[in-house]
Amino acid sequence: MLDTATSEDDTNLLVTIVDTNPLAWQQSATAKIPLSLDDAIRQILIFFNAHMALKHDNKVAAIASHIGHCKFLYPVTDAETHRRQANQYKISKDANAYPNFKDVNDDIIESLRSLMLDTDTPQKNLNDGTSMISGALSMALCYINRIMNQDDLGRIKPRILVLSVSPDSPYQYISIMNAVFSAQKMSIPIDVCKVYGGEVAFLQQASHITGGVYLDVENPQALLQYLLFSFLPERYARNYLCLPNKEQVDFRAACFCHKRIIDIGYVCSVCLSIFCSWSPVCSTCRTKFAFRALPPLAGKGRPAISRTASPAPSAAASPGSSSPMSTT
Amino acid sequence: MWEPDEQLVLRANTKYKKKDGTLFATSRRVAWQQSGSRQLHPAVPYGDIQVQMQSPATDKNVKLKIVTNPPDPKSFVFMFESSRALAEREAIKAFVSESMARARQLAGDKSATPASVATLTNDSPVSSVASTPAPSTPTTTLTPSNGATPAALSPNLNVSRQEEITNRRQLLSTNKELHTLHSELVINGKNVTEEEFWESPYVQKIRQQMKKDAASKEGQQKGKSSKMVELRPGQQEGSDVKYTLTSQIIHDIFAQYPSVKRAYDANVPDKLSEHNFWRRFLASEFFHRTRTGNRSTNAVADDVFDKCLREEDAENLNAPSLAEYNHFKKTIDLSATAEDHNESGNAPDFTMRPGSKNLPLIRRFNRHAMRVLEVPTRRDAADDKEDDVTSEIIISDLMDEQPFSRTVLDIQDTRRYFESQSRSQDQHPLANGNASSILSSFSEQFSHFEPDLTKQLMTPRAAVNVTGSLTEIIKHKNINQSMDPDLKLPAQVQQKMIDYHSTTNEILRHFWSSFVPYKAEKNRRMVDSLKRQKDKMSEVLITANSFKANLDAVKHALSPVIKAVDTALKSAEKRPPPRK
Ligand SMILES: [Zn+2]
Ligand SMILES: [Zn+2]
Repeated sequence: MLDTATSEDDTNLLVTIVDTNPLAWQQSATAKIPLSLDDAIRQILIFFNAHMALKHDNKVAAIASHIGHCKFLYPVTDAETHRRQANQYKISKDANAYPNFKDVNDDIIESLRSLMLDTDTPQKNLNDGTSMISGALSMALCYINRIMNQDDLGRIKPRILVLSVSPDSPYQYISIMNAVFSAQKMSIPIDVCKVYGGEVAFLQQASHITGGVYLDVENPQALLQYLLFSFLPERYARNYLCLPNKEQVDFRAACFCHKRIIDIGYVCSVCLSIFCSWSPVCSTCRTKFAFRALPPLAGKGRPAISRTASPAPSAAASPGSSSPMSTT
Repeated sequence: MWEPDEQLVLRANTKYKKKDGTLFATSRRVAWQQSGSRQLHPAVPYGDIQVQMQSPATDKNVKLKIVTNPPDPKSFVFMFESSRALAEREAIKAFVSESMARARQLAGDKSATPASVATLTNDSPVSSVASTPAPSTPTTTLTPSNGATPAALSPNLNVSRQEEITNRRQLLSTNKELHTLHSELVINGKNVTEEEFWESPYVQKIRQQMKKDAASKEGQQKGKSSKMVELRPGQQEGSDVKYTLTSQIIHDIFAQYPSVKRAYDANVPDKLSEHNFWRRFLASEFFHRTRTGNRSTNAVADDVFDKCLREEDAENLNAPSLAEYNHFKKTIDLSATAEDHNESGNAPDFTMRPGSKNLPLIRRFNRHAMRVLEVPTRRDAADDKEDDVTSEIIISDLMDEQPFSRTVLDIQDTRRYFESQSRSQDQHPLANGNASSILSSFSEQFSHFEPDLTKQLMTPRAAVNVTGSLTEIIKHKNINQSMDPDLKLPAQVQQKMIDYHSTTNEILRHFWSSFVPYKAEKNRRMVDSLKRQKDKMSEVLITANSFKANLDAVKHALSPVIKAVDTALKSAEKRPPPRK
């Protein structure tokens, strides 16, 4: 699909959501192929510099998706900038550094410091320890919206990159999906780089829906290589490049009762909960189904549950009944 | 000629003896009319039909043969010409066999039970011209096999049965998918019986949907035709002119000329026979004048219709009394403003003042127009008061829609609801007893965070490996993408695949529905059908091959359904053999 809204002269705004969840990074640092947060930050900073080096007016923004809350790492508010200048926070001067890069790097490093220093906020919002990805996505979209409204020429072409290390947070499903659909409406691609941890279905769907790139990192130590290879090309270049991307998105459903991925199941006609076996009351929304009981498929001749769609005997199609559904 | 009271049920463009014409199935007989002719020849009453036969469904020519009873058996072959030939033939055939059965029952022929209708099907090919040696398919009858008849026989069973059969026939002729399934499963494959076919939940679902569609169509009421009655001489034989009065025309005459209706009610059948009444009507001056608008010179005086004429004239001469109108629309009542605005240029309206020459004619037209506009009493007449002007002004379509009363979705535990959609298996992978110590160690670690970007980040080897694996992903993606266009199959192959797929699926549904609870006879039949269906896969491949389609793609597309067949067959095998 050709992104016709883009051109060579675009200014590319890269809004990166960095998952800074200490609990997840703690696990990543002790994994088989370890990658600690500070190592990751070094590689990410180089990636930002590469992005800015690509074109003189390329822009970058970074948002930390922390435990229970999220925060802008870069750019910081004017008040914050004044505070930092007053406090002479400046990190060591480096004569060899390109000032534009150094400003961004220093701001992000300083923001990270203050983010980590605050241990109270994450503890209060600990919940199940997952990161505030939905909040970060909303922040990114709001920021993009503001920047684009200021851009009279319409030259700024934004995209979002999520560097994720923590698992899906079911609490945030609705807000994540709302953000994803907003991004889709604004035609902002959401790229996802899964640095550590298993598959994340929500983010996978996010990149699929918005036409972004989803990538599982196999060797986190070479994170920069993945970033430069797959996530550096801007939207215009993507019209001509073939980027590595997950070919198949797993849309298969898992039953709500055992979280087992199933091919055939029963769907509640009211709340769309999926169950692997029939029950007279939906355990999610308490709807009682009025339909004639179907003899259970148990017994000697029970067909093995196959991975392909084998037809199941269907329940009576009376209103409010749960009907068999097959997913592929 | 049509017989009185004969109702036309079905018609189809057909050829008979190489001449173009129309085949009619009426309430009484099958009849064929050559284009341009009024003769119905041949015409066979249902009681006289011995058997009907058809050409095989695979045959290019769609034919229906009708053989009459001995001692003097004649046979007539009709060739169906339209684009929907097959569906039309099925419809006519089904209707004829049903009517045959009814005719026999009326004749008191006890042997002609519905079951014996089924035996009337004949295996000989309908036409010797047919070059394909394939055995012809016997005519289907929509009568139930005895085994499938529901146990509860109600007295009005025959009526509902009749209705059901008519419905089914109509469904088959309107829904292509049903028709394909029916001919594949019931007629050609004999996989399932007629009753089993209609009992399948899938078929019932289609049916329900179609019913809904039809209901929404029927929701729109058709108004009356605005045509005025027009009586044209039908046939001229010498000096005699023949008129054909169908019941519809008679109805229209009554509607347009209430005086004729009054005369009819007063005279028929006590003083005049119906036949005589209409003969006198056609000869009367009344009829002559309504047809030509002039007075007849040679019309004979007729007391009945001259009275009609006088009544009609009187009615047209006088303005209709306002009391006649039960409901005046205030918004279009011209009389209310007739005298207004004279000074601004509106001339007073004299059209309807007495004395105008054209008045009777205008009145006649007006009355006709009123009849056309007459709407059957509205169902919701109770809630709008007749004189209420607002009710005439307010257009309900322009009003705000009432919001639906919705039931609030009450989810007990949203977490559990969405948890199943995330892929993580354990509940709280990050929940960790020493979260606070981790947080403070990170706080400690980052208080002096100063990353050195000049330090080596990764080994060159790792970078090369990553580049290699990413390139591999891209390669794989490219190969898969380039395969996509090949999946575009020729329309014929695609149709064949769709038919194969839906037929197989329907058999599978029958299989599983007879598996639990186990119905041995049907289930065994379905196993046989499934095995046959598997063999038929090669037919699809041959078709695909003849169109030079990508065979792998076809196989791949059909693999899920084949797998499902295998699963079913395996389950059937695992079932312990029935105890004897
Ligand atoms: Zn389950
Ligand atoms: Zn429910």
